[in-house]
Amino acid sequence: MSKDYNQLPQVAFSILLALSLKERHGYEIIKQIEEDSNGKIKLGPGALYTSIKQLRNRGLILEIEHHDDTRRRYYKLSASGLATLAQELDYYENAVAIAKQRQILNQPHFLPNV
Amino acid sequence: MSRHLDAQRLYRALLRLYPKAHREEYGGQMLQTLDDMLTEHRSKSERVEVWLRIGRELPFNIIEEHISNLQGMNMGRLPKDSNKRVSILAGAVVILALGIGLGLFLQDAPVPYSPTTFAELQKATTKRQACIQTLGTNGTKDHPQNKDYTYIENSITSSIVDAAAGTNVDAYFKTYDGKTATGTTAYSGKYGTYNFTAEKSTGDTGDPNYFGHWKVTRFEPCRA
Repeated sequence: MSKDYNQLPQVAFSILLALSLKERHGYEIIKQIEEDSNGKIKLGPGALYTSIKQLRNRGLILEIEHHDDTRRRYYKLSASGLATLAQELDYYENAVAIAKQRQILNQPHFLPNV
Repeated sequence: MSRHLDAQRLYRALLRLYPKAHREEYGGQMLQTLDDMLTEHRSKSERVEVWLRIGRELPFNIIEEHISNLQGMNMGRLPKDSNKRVSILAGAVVILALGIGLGLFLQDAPVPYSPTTFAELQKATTKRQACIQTLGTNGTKDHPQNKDYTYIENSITSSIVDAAAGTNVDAYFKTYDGKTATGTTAYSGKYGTYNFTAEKSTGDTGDPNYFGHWKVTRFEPCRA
């Protein structure tokens, strides 16, 4: 992990994760985030585009035109966005490994609601 | 554009609470996204849920955008329109207070990702192979001429187009030593924390002893 590692806000991380497989427009990103978080993160247009602006300013995502859909702007990960997402996943992977090592995931209050 | 004219009219009015720059840059897309949401959520209860979602985030979001806007603006311009800004901020604070009350009333703060999701993330990432270490120091920086390219600083110097993981993308490789490209149809390397394989395109017209046109056929996350 690099010395200047700075964990992304939850919504920004979720957007990068949603864009990891393909380019998407705003509502597609919202739906993918909802699916990835099992319905726990439900964004509206305001929070979405604030995070999109911040990610664009940091060069982590790029805005692209879509020939078949001129009304919507599409977004995709940049190379540095991919690298940042991998770094975030490394962080979470390490967190899960620690949690398993300490056997805290099996404790009742950590079990998911079924 | 919209089949939800009343909703669009209301949301357009709410957008006026945002800083002008943000509204001009993203207002159209925010309206389009609302239109997409309402198109997919047709029942009355679903549409109420959409508006509650917007109502919960709006006050915080407007405040955040105004703070961001004030931080980014030229302070020399502040006095000129400060009265208008103070009015907008005061309005936004009132909305924020209402929104906090509504938000607390409607739901507890969710835990975004469950341990199960973390476990799935781990499962997905543990399959990653170790990163290939053939490129030496692995330093990267933006391409000096084109920001869409990233330049890999190594004994083998390459340019690669931004690519989503798992997609095939045309890329252009340039080697300084000429040895790796010559007589080779496939080349594996590391780009950031991704392993990739590039294959030389058929009918390549580049100088075979120096550089060539390549296609990335594998682009996978790896373990650094």
